[in-house]
Amino acid sequence: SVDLISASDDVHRFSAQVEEMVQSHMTYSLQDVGGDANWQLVVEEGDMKVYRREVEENGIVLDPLKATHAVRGVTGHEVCHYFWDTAFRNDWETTVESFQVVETLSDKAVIIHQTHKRVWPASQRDVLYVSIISKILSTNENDPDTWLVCNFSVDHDGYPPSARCIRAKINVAMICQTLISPPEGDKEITRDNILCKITYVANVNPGGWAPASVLRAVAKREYPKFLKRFTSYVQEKTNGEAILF
Amino acid sequence: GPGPHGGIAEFGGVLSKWTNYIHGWQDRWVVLKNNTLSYYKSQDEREYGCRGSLCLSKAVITPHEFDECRLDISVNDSVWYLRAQDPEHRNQWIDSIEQHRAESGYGSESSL
Repeated sequence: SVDLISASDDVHRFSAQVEEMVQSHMTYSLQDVGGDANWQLVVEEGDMKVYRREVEENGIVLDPLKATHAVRGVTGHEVCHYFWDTAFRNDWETTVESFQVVETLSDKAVIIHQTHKRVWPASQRDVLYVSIISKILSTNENDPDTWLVCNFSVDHDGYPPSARCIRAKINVAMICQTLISPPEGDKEITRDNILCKITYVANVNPGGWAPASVLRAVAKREYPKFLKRFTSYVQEKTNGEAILF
Repeated sequence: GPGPHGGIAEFGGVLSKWTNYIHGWQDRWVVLKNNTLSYYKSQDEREYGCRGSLCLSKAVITPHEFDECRLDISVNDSVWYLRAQDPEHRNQWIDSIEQHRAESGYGSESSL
């Protein structure tokens, strides 16, 4: 069981929805899918495993995606910090053409509009979403705390869908737990003692129509590429720095 | 204090256990029973339920290479880091766990 600490000091008009999303990810997204026949392992590389379920609705591919990874030398707080803070977005993101923070809801929640690079032969997509960062305390000394970033689609009067792009809907979460092994003797904890377990889930409705084969090929290529690039980026950024627990 | 002794009966004793990065090593009451290792905050708190347990069937016990008091017990991704009072105390625990596991019918190849 988990206690949510974000809600009380972080109140805005999407607070209730944020809390619901966070609880849902904590309950369902962390479940192990390794032995689950509904999920197929599509890419495995080192500690990274990428799974998906093939789901189509009215000819639209909605494949839920889930990936797990274990990254040495970084904490969950650090991984979520670099994933959430838009100041670092252009350092690792390669699929976005442009983005802007539409509204700051609190110091842990923003609304973002972004336009993705066009993937031929599909039309260009844009997306409007709330992005939150949250720490969920463990209730038990044996289990680690959890850091989580969740990005989910919302509407905003200032940013209606345009004729230029198809509006995609997303519910994405980066969920991190830091495993720390005890250092030798009475030494300080170093990055050698740290391992971040990452669960990344992405539910994307591309909107409009796009050929299933193209969407699936793009997903299979882009998600592993993103996970590798992003986690290596966090390792590089934090290397030699004080540990942010 | 009393050292662990072999046999399938329950055995408990104090070991230092790595909790988390804030609290580090803490003394905990560890119990070996029913092919399971369980731990409690202290012996007095046993009646309030255990804080965690590991099934020993597939557990891997690793004496630490340099720290002669330390033994790590892992089941898949879950690892308990434990420290005994001294190297002899550690070896008593390792022997007790192995013997208990063997007598529970899960010890290596001898079970069938």
